[in-house]
Amino acid sequence: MDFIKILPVELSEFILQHLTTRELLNVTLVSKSWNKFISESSNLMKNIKFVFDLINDKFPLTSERKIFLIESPRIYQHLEISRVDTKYLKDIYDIYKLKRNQVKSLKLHHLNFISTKDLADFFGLFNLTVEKIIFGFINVKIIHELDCDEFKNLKSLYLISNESINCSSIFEKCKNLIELYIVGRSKEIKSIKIIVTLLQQNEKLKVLDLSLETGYQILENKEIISKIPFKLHTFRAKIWSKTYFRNFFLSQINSIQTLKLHRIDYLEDLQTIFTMQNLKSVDLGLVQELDLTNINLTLNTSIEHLEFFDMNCKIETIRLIITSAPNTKDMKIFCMTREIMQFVSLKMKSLKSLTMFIPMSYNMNDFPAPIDSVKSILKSTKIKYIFI
Amino acid sequence: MDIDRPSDPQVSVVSSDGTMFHTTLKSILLSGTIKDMIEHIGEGGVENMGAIPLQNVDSKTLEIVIKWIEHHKDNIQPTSEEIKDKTADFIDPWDENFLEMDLDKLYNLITAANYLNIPQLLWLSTRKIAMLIKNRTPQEIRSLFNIEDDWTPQEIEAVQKENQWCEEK
Repeated sequence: MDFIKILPVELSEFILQHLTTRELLNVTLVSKSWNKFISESSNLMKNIKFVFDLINDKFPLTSERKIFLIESPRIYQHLEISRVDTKYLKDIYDIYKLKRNQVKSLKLHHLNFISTKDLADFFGLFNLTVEKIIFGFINVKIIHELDCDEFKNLKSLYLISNESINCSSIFEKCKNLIELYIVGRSKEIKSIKIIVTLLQQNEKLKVLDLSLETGYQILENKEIISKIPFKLHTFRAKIWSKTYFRNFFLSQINSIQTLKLHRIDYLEDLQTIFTMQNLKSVDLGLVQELDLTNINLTLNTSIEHLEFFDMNCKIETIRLIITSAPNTKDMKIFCMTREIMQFVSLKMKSLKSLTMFIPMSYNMNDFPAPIDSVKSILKSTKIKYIFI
Repeated sequence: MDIDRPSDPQVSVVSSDGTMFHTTLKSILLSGTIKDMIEHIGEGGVENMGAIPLQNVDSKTLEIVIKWIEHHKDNIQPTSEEIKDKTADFIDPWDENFLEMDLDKLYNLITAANYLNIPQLLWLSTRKIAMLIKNRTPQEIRSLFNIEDDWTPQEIEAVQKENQWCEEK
């Protein structure tokens, strides 16, 4: 009694959805009709990613295998391509030119000696269906003038450490982005133009991540900051300059729910952040030694997740931050003293989980608050240690 | 006034082959399909509405479904949205035992749970089949479901290789 023959498609899918990806792949070997059923089911294929990786290649792309892949009934929704050259990218292009494409996410990384034209052609195969692109560590050798198509359904775009960020111009026509990540390292600051273009065109943007290592100039660029007219709910940045920080946050004060910063240098910045009454999750990064004489932070009852590094700051700063976010359920912090822990247990009545970062170099005997005493003070809190 | 009205009135359902079953309102409301029907009847209708015809469920299967809903009538039922994210952390041993039946009955139960919209029963019964597949070789699965092996050695090798390129999303 073969349920795939007997039951409606939807119910056979329900059965197979209980399996893990590996188990599901094993099941494809049962028969041609089972393989076809799974291969063509978008509900089942949504958990499977197809990976072309030249280095870990178990299955090099010979002409026979190209034909096999073209004829295979699999309709992949997620493709990952890494460490390949232009020739290989063209082979993949040939395969997908002939297949029914339902690709929703594309991850391309560590590509060398590629030309922008080949990349643009490749993206041209998927530009109508793809919703998410991760584009990282790409070193484009030949830059062409591009006339690219629009990515109509693209919602998330990640540009990560691309050596020649000019290749990002492929994405210049994205107009429906919800999430934009420009992160990692980038040698060129010329990329400002593409960032400005993307910010200008994408008014529906909700998530903006500008965690660029060398992005100081980008973040200081007045033009970029003035191009954020919309209401973000998530913002991340690595380096920020005082000049634009406050204005930016004041414009986003009612919308931001998740905020992740590399460090906090100024008291005014800390004060502004605590006035964001919709903020649920905040990572302040490294909190510098601030002068806290006679200051208060606004009581922020919306914060549920709080994270900061307190290596340099005074105990008063920690107390102030903790007292101002009394509803925190989940906190991540650098190792704490016993005094701070007692303070936490007194002030943070909703704390469910606490993660502490402990440097490897610490001798546990010298640890400011021995682990056993942490547990006895924070009895109903789940505690996790991460050694760094 | 509703003083004499029992807290859990009796309801009757009729299977596709004409057998009548009696159960209680609380139990039958576990079925989203019947719940929708009853909500449309409106005020004071439950006692007088007569037997509910279920044209897609035969008597053998309906008997099994009623046994399950009566056992679970006081439990809070997950919605079909919640079921999507459900992981199999705990299965009630009663359910585990209840689902010990042959494939034919299980398929009918799955179809009925779907038609009657009982998300938890659908989840349990489809999971039961999936458990039979888990950790089995393709050959064992073929024998279990009586499926013909229609692969040539070259074809199956090619699919095995294709699978090696696949990863969890």
